[in-house]
Amino acid sequence: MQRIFISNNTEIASDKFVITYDFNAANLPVTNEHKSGNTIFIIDCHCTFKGAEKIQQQGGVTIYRYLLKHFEGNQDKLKVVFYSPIAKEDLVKLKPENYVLKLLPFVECNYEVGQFENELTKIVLDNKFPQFNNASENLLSGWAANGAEPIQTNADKKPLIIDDQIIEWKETYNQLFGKNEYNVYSKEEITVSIENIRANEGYDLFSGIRDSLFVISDFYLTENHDSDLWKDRTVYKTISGFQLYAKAKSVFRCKPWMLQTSSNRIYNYELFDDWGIDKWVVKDIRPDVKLNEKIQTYQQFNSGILLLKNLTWMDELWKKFMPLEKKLKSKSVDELLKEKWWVKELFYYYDSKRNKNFNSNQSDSNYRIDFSDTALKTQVEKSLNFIVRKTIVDTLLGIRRQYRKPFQYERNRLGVDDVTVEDLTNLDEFACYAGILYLFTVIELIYRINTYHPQKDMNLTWGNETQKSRKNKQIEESDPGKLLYKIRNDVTHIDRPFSPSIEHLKVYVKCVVDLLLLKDRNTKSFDFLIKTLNNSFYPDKNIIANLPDTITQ
Amino acid sequence: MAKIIIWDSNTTRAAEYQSKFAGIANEILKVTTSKDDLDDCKLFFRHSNDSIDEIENDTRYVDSIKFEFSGGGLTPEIIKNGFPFEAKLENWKDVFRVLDILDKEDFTIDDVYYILGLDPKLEKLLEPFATANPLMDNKVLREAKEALHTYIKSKS
Repeated sequence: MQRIFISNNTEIASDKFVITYDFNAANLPVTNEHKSGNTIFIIDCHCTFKGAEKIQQQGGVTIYRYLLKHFEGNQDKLKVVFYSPIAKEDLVKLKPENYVLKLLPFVECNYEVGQFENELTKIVLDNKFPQFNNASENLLSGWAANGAEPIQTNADKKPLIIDDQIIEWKETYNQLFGKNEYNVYSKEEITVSIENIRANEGYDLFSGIRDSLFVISDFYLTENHDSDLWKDRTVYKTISGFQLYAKAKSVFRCKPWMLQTSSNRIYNYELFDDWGIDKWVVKDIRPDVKLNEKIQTYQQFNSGILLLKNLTWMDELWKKFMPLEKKLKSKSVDELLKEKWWVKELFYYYDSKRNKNFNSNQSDSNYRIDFSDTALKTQVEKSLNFIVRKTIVDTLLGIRRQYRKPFQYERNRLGVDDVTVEDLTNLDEFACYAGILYLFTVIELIYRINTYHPQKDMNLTWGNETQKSRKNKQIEESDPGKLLYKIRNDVTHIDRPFSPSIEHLKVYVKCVVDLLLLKDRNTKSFDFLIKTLNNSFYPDKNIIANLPDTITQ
Repeated sequence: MAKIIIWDSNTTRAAEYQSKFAGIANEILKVTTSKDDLDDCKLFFRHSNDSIDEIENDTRYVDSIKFEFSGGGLTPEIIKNGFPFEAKLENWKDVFRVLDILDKEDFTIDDVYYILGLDPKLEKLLEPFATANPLMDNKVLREAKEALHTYIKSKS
């Protein structure tokens, strides 16, 4: 193993690696021979040169960052050992941004015969040299300078990181998330999955994405970056990172997803933005990034993680809801009529609207519907599409967009400089107002709380099982459905008693989805929904008393 | 090499600055309105009478901590009484170091180190190791290391 000492000391520094004041780290005399994997660079942590004039500035780490740049694409061949009279833990306390010193092989010099050589020999024999690249080291550095607090996901599931250079990121992610607290795929597995996706076949990453808490992925997974090549959107869509994303999102539409890529092209971002990416952070691949920028890079990364964590409930909700959407695509109305109680309600709803006999107040008990009526079925099918495809999906999309609001609108939203996030709560209100009205429409439609219906169970006080006619439209005070009206009226009223927030809408949409997933009409479950809404919208009031605490399937 | 630039074309005030910052004037401080003097500028004090149009996009200026003052020169009162400043240090918190030392009577090179986030005592203790050979047995360095460690532990 060839040893290259990098130091200000001419006595020990290797030829061409003597560091002088005018030393330019960008011009390190690294050769192809050095990149063969048979060279070990032994760096004095305290090298001084122009730009790092003081010994305490730990200029050796700056040199290491330029070595990373020189070894781009060959990081497995870069072997570095630092040395200093100061213990590495203390060096990092003095300069937290040099956290990488803790992770790389290190000799604390005792200036005793044989000590340095013995430790160095042991390091060489162990042959364990953690890999980084400039981007992963910059993120680690920014994280450490931000306080080196591990990211808490507080979930049973783990984040999934899809990066063809994952070996060069592992040490960084081990610090950020904790060892074994995230999942990865190897470069080979990623390559095979991309090939499968392109061949329109099943792919191994599918299950990993499905079971993940959220996904962080790269844009260029199997190809070179081609940074000089002008690309239009048609070409971008052929890039592996996009193809994987688009394929996965076609199934897991609400999977929280962050792109982390060295590409900072706005065109790439726009493409992913149009396809619903939740966050985009740029890998900073420069060797000379200022500390402020590293801190900002980490803060962007961390804000992305916070956003993804906020979106995980939507992923869970979508996974519950997805089978229903699939059924709608593949099954006929007749089949859905057997599977979901509320499809029958839709038949009654549309029939009651057109049935003249019904309008002339026919006796309830004699009222029957012809479920084979083609016109009726068409109307029901249209309504199913409205409920499932439009209302629920649009509400989820609206919520997701709203979660991104602080990043989109924090500054200069309407050309004014003094708008703060707090001023923007009206946007929350606007989205929630729209969402709640949308969802109320579904509730109203399937429970017909605002319509006449001759069936005996039409009344929301179902427990009584009384016969009702259209004359008995008035909903009683004790009726749980009353609360739904109250919510609708309160959020739309000019003097509304509270500002509807995303949290309100989140509870509402979860309740509606739970309701749609019930096989049979289930009074207790409806009551549970009402109670949940009561607790969310009016936490200090029990508007409807004695409602159940759990949902019953 | 200048680390602190006072951008002020008034020669009377320039003399005052030189006097006030006598301890660092030649090595670290430059009173100037020439962009040729901007190399390694870390702190940039600007008198409002003097235009910065010529340097406002110069990275040496952009990357420095910037202070603006007006009327009667750069007195401690002006400095302390809320003139605008912008932090461009590596660590933004270092700007508060400027405020820490503003009411000192005499400024020294150690004050500049302090503003730049450097520790002069640590630097002194590290000096014996600047060109040390880690392979050699060296009693002097062992003793120097002892003193260095004692100081580092006392800091933490």
